[in-house]
Amino acid sequence: MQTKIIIQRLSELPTAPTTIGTMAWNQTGDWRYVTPLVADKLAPCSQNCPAGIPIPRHLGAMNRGDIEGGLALLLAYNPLPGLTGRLCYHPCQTKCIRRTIDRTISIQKVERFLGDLATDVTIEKSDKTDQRVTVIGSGPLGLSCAFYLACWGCRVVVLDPAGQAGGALVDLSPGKIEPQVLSHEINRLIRLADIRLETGAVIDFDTPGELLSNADLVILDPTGLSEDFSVPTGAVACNPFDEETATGGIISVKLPQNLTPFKAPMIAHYIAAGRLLARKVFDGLRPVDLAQPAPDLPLQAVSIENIKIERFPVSGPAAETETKQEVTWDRERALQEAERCLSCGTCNLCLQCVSYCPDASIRPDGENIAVAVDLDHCKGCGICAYECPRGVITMEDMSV
Amino acid sequence: MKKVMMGTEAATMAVKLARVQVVSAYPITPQTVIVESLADIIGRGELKAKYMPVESEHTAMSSCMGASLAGARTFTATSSQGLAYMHEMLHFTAGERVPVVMVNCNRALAPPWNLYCDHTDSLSQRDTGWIQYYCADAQDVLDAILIAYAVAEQALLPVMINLDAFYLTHTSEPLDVPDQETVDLFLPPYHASLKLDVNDPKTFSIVCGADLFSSIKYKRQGDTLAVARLWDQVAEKYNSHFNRLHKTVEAYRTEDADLCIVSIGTATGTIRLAVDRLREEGLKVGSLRLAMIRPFPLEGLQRAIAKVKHVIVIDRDVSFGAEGIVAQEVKAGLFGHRGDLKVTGFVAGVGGNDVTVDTIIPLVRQAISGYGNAVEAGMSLWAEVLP
Amino acid sequence: MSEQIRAKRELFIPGHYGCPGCGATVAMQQTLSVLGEDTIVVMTAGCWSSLIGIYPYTCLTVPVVSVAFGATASVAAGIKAGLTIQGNDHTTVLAFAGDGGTFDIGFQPLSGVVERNDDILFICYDNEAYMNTGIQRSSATPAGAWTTTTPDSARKGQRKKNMVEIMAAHRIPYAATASIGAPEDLKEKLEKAKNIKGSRFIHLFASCPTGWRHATELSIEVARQAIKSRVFPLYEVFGGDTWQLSSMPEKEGVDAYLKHQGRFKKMSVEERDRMQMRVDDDWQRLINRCQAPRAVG
Repeated sequence: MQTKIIIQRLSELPTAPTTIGTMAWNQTGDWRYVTPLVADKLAPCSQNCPAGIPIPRHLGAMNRGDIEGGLALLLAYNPLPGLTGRLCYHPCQTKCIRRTIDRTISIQKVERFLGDLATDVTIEKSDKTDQRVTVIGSGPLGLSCAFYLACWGCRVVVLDPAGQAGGALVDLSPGKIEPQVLSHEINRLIRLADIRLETGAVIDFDTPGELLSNADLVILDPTGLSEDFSVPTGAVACNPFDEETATGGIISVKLPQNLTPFKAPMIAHYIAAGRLLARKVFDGLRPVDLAQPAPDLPLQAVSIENIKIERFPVSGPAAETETKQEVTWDRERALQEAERCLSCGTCNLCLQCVSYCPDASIRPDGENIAVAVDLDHCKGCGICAYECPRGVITMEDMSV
Repeated sequence: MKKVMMGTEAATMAVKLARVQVVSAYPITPQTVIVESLADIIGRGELKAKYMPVESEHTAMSSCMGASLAGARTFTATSSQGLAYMHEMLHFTAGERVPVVMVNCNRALAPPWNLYCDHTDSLSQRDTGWIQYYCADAQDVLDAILIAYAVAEQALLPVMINLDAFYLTHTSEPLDVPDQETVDLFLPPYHASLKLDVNDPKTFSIVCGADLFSSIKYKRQGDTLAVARLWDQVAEKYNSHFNRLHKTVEAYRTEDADLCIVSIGTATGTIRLAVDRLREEGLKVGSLRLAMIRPFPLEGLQRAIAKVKHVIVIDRDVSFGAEGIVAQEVKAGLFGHRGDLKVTGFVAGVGGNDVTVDTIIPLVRQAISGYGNAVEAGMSLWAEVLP
Repeated sequence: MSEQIRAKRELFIPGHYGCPGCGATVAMQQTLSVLGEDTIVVMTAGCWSSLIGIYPYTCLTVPVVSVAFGATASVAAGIKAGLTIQGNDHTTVLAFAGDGGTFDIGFQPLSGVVERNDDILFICYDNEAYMNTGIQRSSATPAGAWTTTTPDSARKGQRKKNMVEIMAAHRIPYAATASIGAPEDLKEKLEKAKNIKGSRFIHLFASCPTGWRHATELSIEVARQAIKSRVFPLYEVFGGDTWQLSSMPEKEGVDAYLKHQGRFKKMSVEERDRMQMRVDDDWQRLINRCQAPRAVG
C-alpha cells in the first residue's frame, strides 16, 4: 500500500491545482462484501486421469514456451511420461472440452513428446535426510513410490532381483515398449530423484544385507516382483487406495482386483498407486526431520457450467488429421497441439479478467503464471468471476 | 519606427512581436480587425503560429487554455457578448494558472444591442481571477500586450488587455513600433514551468475537498495581489528598453489637488483636458487613471490621493442595484483610509455616448455643490439620461 | 499484491472512487492500455472527473486535465495545437467525455473541432444518462428507460441521438462504435484511430450498474447483450462515407438485453415490441449503409 503524501504547509502546495501522487493509498478493498478467489480447478480431462495429472498446467507451460518446465510439471504427477504416453488408455481425452469446438486435444501424444525429451529438467526436491527406504521391485508402482519418497528427502534404494529393471514392463512385447524407451524413462527417474537402483539383487529377509537391515521402511512392489516372490512374515499388507495409514517395517502392497494382474494400459493407475503409497508411508517416516511435501493440488473439480465455451478465444491451429499411434511428434507439432488447449479450470493468463476489472485490481502474479487479486483495492464487483471463461475465479464470502 | 495605427492594429502588431504560437478566436465587432489580420499574417507565414478559427468564444478560451497548458504562448481577442460567453472558461484559465493574454474590446452588453464603448463587459469579469489592464491609447495597447506576456508568464496568471470600443479599437494614432530584436530581449520564448507533460504526468484541476480548497484559493489570491507590484517592476524594465512607462496607475496634476477625477480607459485623456480647464478656473483638480483594475492598485491609488479631499469616479459601466463598478472599487479601497475623504460616483459615456469636457465639467461642479434634488441618495449621478 | 507486479509503469492506478462494476473505468483502462504513455487526457465534468481521485491524488499516470463541462473537445484541440507548434507530432490527445459531455453540453465544440478536423481522438464513454449527478436523462438515454428525470410516471419517449451518424455527416476521417464488452474489437479500433491524423470519434458503450440497475458483475455481460441484440451494433465509418460492420455474434432479440436492467423493468409488452421494431429498423438501415457502394470523391 502506497503511503499518502500529505500537504501540510502552504509552501508545499503546487502553483496550479496539480496532483502530487496517486490514489493507491485509498483502500477501496474495504468496500468489498465478497472476495474473488483465484484457484485452479481440476479440468475435465484431469478429473478423468487415473493419475490426476493437472494436464492444462504442463500444456500451459509449453504455451509459454517453457517445454522443460512443462515436463517438470508433468513429472510432479507422473514420473514415467514416456510410458504412459505410449501405454495409457487416455481417458483424459474423452472428456476434453475442445471436442465441442473441433476435436479433442491429443493429450497423450504431447505427453509422449515430453517424456521422450532428451534434456534433463530441474524438479523440486527436499534435501536428503537420514530416512532410509528400500523398495523391492522396480515396476511402475515401485519406481513411482521410490521417486516421490526420494524427492521428499528419503534415501531410497530400489532392489530388483531381476536382471533388468522395469518389472512387469520388461515382459511387454517390444511392439509396445522399446527397451531403450524403458531404460530412458527409468534412468531419468532415478537420476532426477537421486535413487540407487540395483538389479539382480539377492533378497534374503532371513539374512538381510545392509540395504535391508538399515532401512527404516521396506516396500514390496507388486508390479516389480514375480508372483512367486515370497513375502516375508511380518510384512504389513497395504492398499494404496484405501484410507488406512500404513506403518511398519515391511509393507507389502496389495492392489485392488481391477489392477491385478498387471495391465499395461492401466499404467497410470499403478503410477498413481505409487504416489498415494508414498504419501501414506511418508507420515510414518516424517517425525524425524522430514518436511511435509507440498500437497498434491487440492483441486476442486471445475463445474462444467462455469466453463463458458462461447467466450474462449479459440486459439491454436485447427486439428490436423489424426496421425498413427506410433509416430512421435516433433517439437513444433507438440507445441501446436498444446496451443489448442482451452486450459479449463486453469488460469492461463488470458487476461480477460484484467481487461474487464474496473479497479485495476487483478493482474498477473509475480511468477507470471496466473492472475492475483489486489485485495487492498478490489471492490468485489464480481466481474472477474463472472467473466472468467475457465471457472478459475469464484466469489467467496470471506467473513465465514 | 513611427507608424499610424488603430488600436486593433497595434494589438495585432504586439501579438506578432510577442511571437505568439497559438491564436484561437471567434469574430465579434469591434474585435474583428484583430482576428482578420492575425489570420492573414499567420496564413502568410509572417508569424509562425497556429490559428484556430473556432466556432465560439467558449471554445476560443478553452482552446487557448489547452494550448497554454501544452506550453505554447497563446492569444485571443473578444468583446462584450463574446467575453460573457467565455465567462466559465475565464475562471478555468485563471484557476489552471495559464498565462493566456487576451484583448477585450470594451463594448456594451445587450439588450438592447449596442456596439459602442462600455466597460460593464470586462468589469463584470472582475472576479474570474484575470489580471485586467485598461489601455489609454494605441501605444499603450502595443506596449501593454508585451508587458502582459512577461507578467503573465512570470505570475502564471492570465491577463486581459482592455480597449475601448471604437475610441481605441478604430481610431488611428501615431505610435512607436519597437523592433523585433529588442522585443525578443525583453520577452524571451515561453518555457512553461507548468504544463501537461507525458514525462512528468500530473492531473490538473481534480476535485478538491474542503481541506485544501481554501489554501489553494488563498495561494492564488496572494499570487494575484502580488501582480500589482510585479506589473510595475516589469513596466520599469520595459521602460528601460523602450523608454515608455505603463504603470498600474497614472496620476495627472494630483500633487496639490483637492479634487481628483478617477477613471479607466480612454476617457482619461478628455478628463485631463477638463482638469486643465478647471485649473484655469482656479480649482485644484487632478486626474488619476487606474490602468489596472485587477489586482486593484490600492497602493498607487492611496499614494496619488494622499492630499485629496474629494474623489470623483467616472464609470462607463454600472452594477445594477449598486452603482458604478469602479466607484465601488475606489470606495472599498479607500474605506477607513482617511476619514475626511469624500467619494462621488458618476456614470457617463455608456453605450457610445462621448465623454467630453462638456460632460465632465458640469459633473464636477455638481459633485462640488452637492447632489441635485433629482438624484436619490446613495446612487451614482448619471449623465446622458432623459429628464 | 506484490510490488513486483506494479514494477512497470501502470497508467491506471487502483484506489479510485468509481462504483463497483463501473463500466466507464473499464473503458478508460482498455483505452489507455492501447494508447499508452504518450497520451494526454482531457476530461470533463462527469463520472470520470469525480472518480479519478481527490486532490492532490489521481488514479491516472498520464497527464490529465479536467475541464469545464462543454469544453472537452475544444481544450483537447488547443492542447494539440500547442504541441504541434512546438514540434510535437506524436502525443495522442484524448478527449474523454461522458454522453452528457458529448451528446448535450459538449456538442457544439465537438462539432466545431470535427468540422475543422483538429487532430484529436474523442471518446465518448456512453452510460446513457447523467450518472455522476444521480442518473438524469441525457439525449443518449434510450427510449423507455427510467432515470430520475424520466421517472416511471414519465419515462423517456424520445430515441437516443445517433452521434456516429452526426460525426459521419462532418466527414470525420474516422468514427466508430465500440463496447467494453468487445475489448478485442475496441483494441483494433483504437489502434486504427491512433494512427489516423485528424479528428477521430469513438462512441464507447460503457454500462453502469448503478444507473442501469443491474448486478455489478453483469457490466460486461450487459454490454455484450447490447451488441448481440443490436441495441448497440459495432461499426466503423471512414471519411464519413464508407460504413463497415464489425464482427458481431448472431443477432438476438432485445429481451436478453433488457432483462438484467432495472431501468427497463416497467416497460410494457407494447413498449418492448416497439423497441424491438426500432432496433430492427436501425439495424436494417445500418446494413443498407454498410452495403451501399462507396460514394465518389
